[in-house]
Amino acid sequence: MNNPTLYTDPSGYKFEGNRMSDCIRNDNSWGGSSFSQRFVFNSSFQNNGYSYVDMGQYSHYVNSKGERVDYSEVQNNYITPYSRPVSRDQIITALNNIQSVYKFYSVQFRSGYTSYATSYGDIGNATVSSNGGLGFSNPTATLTPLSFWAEEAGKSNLFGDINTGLGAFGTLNSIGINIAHDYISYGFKSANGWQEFNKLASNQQAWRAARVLGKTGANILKYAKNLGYLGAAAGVGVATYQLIEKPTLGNATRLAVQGAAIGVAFIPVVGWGVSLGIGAADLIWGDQFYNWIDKQ
Amino acid sequence: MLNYLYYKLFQASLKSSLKDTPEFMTSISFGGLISVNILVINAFLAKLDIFPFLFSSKIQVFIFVLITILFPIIFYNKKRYKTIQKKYYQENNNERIKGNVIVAIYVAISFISIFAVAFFKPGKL
Repeated sequence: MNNPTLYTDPSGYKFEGNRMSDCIRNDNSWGGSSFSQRFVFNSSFQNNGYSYVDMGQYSHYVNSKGERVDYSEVQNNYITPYSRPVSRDQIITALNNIQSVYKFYSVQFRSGYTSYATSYGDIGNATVSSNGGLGFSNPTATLTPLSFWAEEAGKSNLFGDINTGLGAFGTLNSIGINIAHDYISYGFKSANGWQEFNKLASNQQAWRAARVLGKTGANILKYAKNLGYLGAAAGVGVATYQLIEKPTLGNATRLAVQGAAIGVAFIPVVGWGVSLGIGAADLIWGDQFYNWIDKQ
Repeated sequence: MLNYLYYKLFQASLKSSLKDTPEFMTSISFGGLISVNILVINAFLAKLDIFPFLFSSKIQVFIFVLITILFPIIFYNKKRYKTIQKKYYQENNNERIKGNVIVAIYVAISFISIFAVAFFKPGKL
């Protein structure tokens, strides 16, 4: 059903070569208004990263038959994700279905290099005109040019990478710290090992770190631990935004895990090491795990 | 109030695994908490259509959190912290426990409120 090259919709739609868009996107980020339910028609961003589908912040809508449809269903059944081509009819179908619930939203329509948006208002029924353009039955829903596409395209890539970047930074940083910490914790006749090392007075610990790593190295080690914690704190902020934007169980779990990574850092002695473990696991399996939760 | 929160977080940092650099850990915790509070309040007001949601992307949130963390790092220097410490160090055991409980409740509510606001009118933003 979700074949990237030859797609057949269960309702009978077939993949069309003559397509209007590669991507439809539901995004409320523009303008920050709660009314900005947004669908993006995009025909030329496949190569610069604006190539995924995010049906985003509403977990579901009610279609014209009064049935509840989860957005994951929309994504899988109407709109092909990851910039696989979708047909014009599929877009119109999705629009018509969604407008049955949300009267007020912005529609942005890209044609060539010009983008358009309606002013907030009921666009009425979306129809396809003879020349391939979109028409709306509500005459007040006029199309107005927008010019944020290139910017949005750039941001999309960056957004996608933030979680990974934070995780990778935290993990690499923490691995480095672990190795350094091992050096100063082991290899001494007395107080050998992490537990024992941490029982030493802080001036004894500082002396040992400076002896093994040098004064600069010891200072770097001391502050690097905080960089990992800083990354975890920023991770909580980003996870909070993700949950607010898209309140799913997967995102809730993401926030809980990030929160746990922060919380365990307060456990004396080993806390930051446990925090490292959580951060690394989140980096490696996080997205897969949260997506799996969302699909349950 | 904010000074007291900072003081309490500092005391907690002194017992944490990052006790070497409590001032940094405290600033990160403090800034992180405040930024999440602002994010949640903003989302709540936006869902009630009282105020627009100010954040449109993860990168904006990321930068906002970093700036909010940077503020206490700069503001709460050693001199200022010593003044705060002098003010609150005198508290007796009862006051100390009461303060700890209040701060713990505040942190818990801050965290729970994220879920509450996220699932309040889900999908409104």
